[in-house]
Amino acid sequence: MTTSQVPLVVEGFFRELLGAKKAVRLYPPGNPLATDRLQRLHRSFQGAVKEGLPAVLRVGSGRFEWDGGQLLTRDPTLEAFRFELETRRITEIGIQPGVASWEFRELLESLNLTHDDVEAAGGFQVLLDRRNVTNIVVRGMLWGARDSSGTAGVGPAMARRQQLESLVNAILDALGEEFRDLTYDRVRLSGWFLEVAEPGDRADALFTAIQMLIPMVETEADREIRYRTINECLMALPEPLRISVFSAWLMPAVRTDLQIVNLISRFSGDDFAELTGLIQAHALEALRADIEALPSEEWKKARISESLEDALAEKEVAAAALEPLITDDDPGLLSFREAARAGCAPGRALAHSVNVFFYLIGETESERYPALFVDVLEDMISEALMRDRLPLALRILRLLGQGDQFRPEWLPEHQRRLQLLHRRLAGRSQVTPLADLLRRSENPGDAGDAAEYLRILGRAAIDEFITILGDEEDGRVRGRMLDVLGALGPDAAPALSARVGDSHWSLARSMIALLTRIGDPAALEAVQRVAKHEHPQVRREVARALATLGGKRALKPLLDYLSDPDDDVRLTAIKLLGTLVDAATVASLREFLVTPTRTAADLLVKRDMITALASIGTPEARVVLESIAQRRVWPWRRNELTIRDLASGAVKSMEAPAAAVREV
Amino acid sequence: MSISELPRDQVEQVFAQLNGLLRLASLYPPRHPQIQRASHGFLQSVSDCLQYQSALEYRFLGDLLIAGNRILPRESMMYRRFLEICQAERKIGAIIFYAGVTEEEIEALTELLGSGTGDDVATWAERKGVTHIVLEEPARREEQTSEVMARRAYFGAVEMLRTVESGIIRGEPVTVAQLSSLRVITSAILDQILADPSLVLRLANIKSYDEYTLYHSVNVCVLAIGIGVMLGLPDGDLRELAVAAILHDLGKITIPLEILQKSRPLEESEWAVMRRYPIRGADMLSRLPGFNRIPMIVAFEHQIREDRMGYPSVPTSWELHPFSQVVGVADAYDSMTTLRKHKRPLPALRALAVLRQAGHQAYDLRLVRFLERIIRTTPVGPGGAAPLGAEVPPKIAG
Repeated sequence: MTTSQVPLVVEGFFRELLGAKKAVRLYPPGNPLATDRLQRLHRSFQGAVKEGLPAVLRVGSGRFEWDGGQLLTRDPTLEAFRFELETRRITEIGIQPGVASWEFRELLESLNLTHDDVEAAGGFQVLLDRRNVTNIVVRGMLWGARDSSGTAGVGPAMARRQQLESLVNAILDALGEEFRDLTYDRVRLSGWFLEVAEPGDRADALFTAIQMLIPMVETEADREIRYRTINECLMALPEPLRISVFSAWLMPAVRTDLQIVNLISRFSGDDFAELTGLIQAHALEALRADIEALPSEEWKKARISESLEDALAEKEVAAAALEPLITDDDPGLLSFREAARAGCAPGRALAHSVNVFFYLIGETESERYPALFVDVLEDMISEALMRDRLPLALRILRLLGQGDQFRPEWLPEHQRRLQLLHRRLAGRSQVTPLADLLRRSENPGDAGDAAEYLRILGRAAIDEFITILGDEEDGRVRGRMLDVLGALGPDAAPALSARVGDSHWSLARSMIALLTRIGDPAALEAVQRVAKHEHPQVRREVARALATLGGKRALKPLLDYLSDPDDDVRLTAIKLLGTLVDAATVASLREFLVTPTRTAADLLVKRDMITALASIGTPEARVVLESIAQRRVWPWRRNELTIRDLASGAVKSMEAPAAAVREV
Repeated sequence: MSISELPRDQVEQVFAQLNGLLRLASLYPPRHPQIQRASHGFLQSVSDCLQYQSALEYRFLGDLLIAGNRILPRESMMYRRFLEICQAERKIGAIIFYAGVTEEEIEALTELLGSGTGDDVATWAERKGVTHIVLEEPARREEQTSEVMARRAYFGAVEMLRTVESGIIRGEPVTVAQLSSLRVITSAILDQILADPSLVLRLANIKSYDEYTLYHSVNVCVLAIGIGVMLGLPDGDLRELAVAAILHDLGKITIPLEILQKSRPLEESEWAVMRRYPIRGADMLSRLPGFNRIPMIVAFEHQIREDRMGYPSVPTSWELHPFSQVVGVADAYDSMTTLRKHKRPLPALRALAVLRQAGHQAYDLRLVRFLERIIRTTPVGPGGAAPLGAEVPPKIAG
């Protein structure tokens, strides 16, 4: 590297430094853009050192200097930086080759502080020392620098100067604030542009105003918004003024002023298209050529150039007729609105998100079992029940059970977690929503789904469900819950059997009735255990269960019920005995029939016994009935007469099988 | 240093102290030691801020707290009650502190905020001799909806997304608080658009190639709101759509910049990484318990085409959420009209033509027509210049 090239190296390094300074100012720590720019600066510095970057750079008047060379700051950006260093009273910056990226960051953050901040912190070098920066040294009559006595070195002249500077700063701050507001307010900025250009043709004044605004905008974190405001206002200028500003000022300035390029690079595709209608084609071609020659990022130049090229080409394209716009009553609009509204309903959104969750389980990048997803799905099951979306809750349970989305290495863990999940869902608080859903439900299909849901969760859930059933007061809901247990079939039998002796007689009766409906003979033993239940309704249900489940084995306990103190139980037993054709039954019935008929209840029981004997239909039964029918009875014993008549009718019906015993 | 340049923490902390002072004033009598202690601390903080600037301004606009030019979304949520009391009961729309504020003036302010005075704010200031605190009356409804306000909200959204981005890059999860803040901000954008629908294009024309993803996300939010408003969706659904749209590209934060900003076509291996970003975005959003799941669905689905091509790969039976379709169209449109390393910005009508040419296999063409109506009927210039394709002859064949 020759000494004549060192200024280029210095300039290149300063440009990187300025880029990084801006990034550090605009973006929070950790932002990739800021980090990226800092790393770029560090790399650039290392490259520049190899190419001869001087170790110490001095701030001179209109130039940067070093031993044996200088860089004149003709470029406005570099001059602005030099001026800034000068106003901060920095005369020298020394950077050691071993400097680290973070030291650059500390330097740039310090440079981004205000004079007052630097002053308050005790000066630049104190700031850098405090941040342990050892490879960068800043020298000069620095703000906040202290003299040897340790007191601020401020004499009367300096005090006056500081007062003046404070006043100027306050005025500049206020002015800056005013322009900050202006670049956020399209209407006011438009008005100001027109005012500046008064009487309407001062494009030069307007251009100067724009040149003043851009550097202010460029330092703001929200500069894109402010650039857009300026561009919108430019595009909205009255046509003659707009043409004049663009043709005579903005476009020629592209050759020398990077800030104007920054402004133009913010034009939208529509802005470019609109320009082609205003500016002569050769001027736009010239603009393209100027942009391509700029020392700017290649891709940016290329894209702006392409946009101009497109806009120029499209100027030639004939206008095609536009299609009519969609109207408010368009069926497409209405149908999409309905679909969108339906899609936002919580239940629908929930169902939709379940699909996404299962997809995410299969696609997660983590090596670990996706416990979090499973937890969320558990919550979704509860939510689905609360939102009356039982099929969805069931679907989640089934999909979790299938485990298709889980990787093979996760399956043991999944099984363990699934068991825990089932256990939690089988708890009272989790089964209650299912019962609540049935309370609200009018959907006949829910019983089957609820049964399937309980079947998946297993015995513990069924037990809880039965407990909730026991506490339920609403008959309609109890009916639905019983339907669910009935739909469970034999899977429910063990849980039902366990509750046949429940202290709630109605629950016990329901359990026995369900066992009868399910028809599992294994439940007989459990039913027999409660044959002497204190409540007659339960005993009657037991009688029915015995007859259905026990077959011939039910004879003995049914016969025992013939002496039950409750008439209904006895009646039920007799009716049921009639369905069990057995000689032993006949003998027992006969014994009862020959006893005196004292009460109306006795009469009813005996009527049913006669009916039962008729349905047994064996010769032994016929003999018994004939003996009753032929019995001699005193005329004032009306009950006995009725019995005799019934027996007589039964004998006749046995001769004619289709005939039935009539009511008394 | 303007208030927008003051460290955010400092601005937030001062307001938190003011809120604390108000709460204490409701619990203790004036001049109680607790109040005096808090008042002293508050004065100290205000004075610290006023060393660097001439004024410290807090403005209340409906549900929004604005410090200087910046919306404070988190504080807007946290101090909602404060804002409500100030505007509805005390008739205060802004509190501005000037350098030189004294402890007596802070005490007077505390008394006013705590119990009111019955005076209008100007009389109160005169009676109490308060000169370094200026109170303004609440802005009228029409003043709360303005283009400046919309731009503030726009930038608030960018800043909030930047915070989320920084957190993700540091390996921190997205938090419910962050998303709630985004909800506040997107609601503010929505309110402005509802008041002035022409803001849709004006805001969506703000672009950035340095921070493409952040600005693009806000633009997609704005465009999606525009489509939602045209559809006549109810307010609640519009707010959900806005949040979902602004978060649609969350997963891109995890994609390396060298892939996102590559100016040449991506290699197959790079595409493989790129295709995962909807899954990553949905994954991040799925980890937020209790948060509405529509944003997760949209983050996951917005790159899936109508024919179920695109990415991530899903079965043909997969049903797209309507909001995913809306965001998908807004996403494609904004992407096409933005200058990027690998492509130039297209004019609006040209971008629409490209969307139409992609056909119903790619997009729901009803949505393209909705977007077209917004573009062709919205005045784009200041003072209501002609909409695209209206007075100006169209340059692009439809």
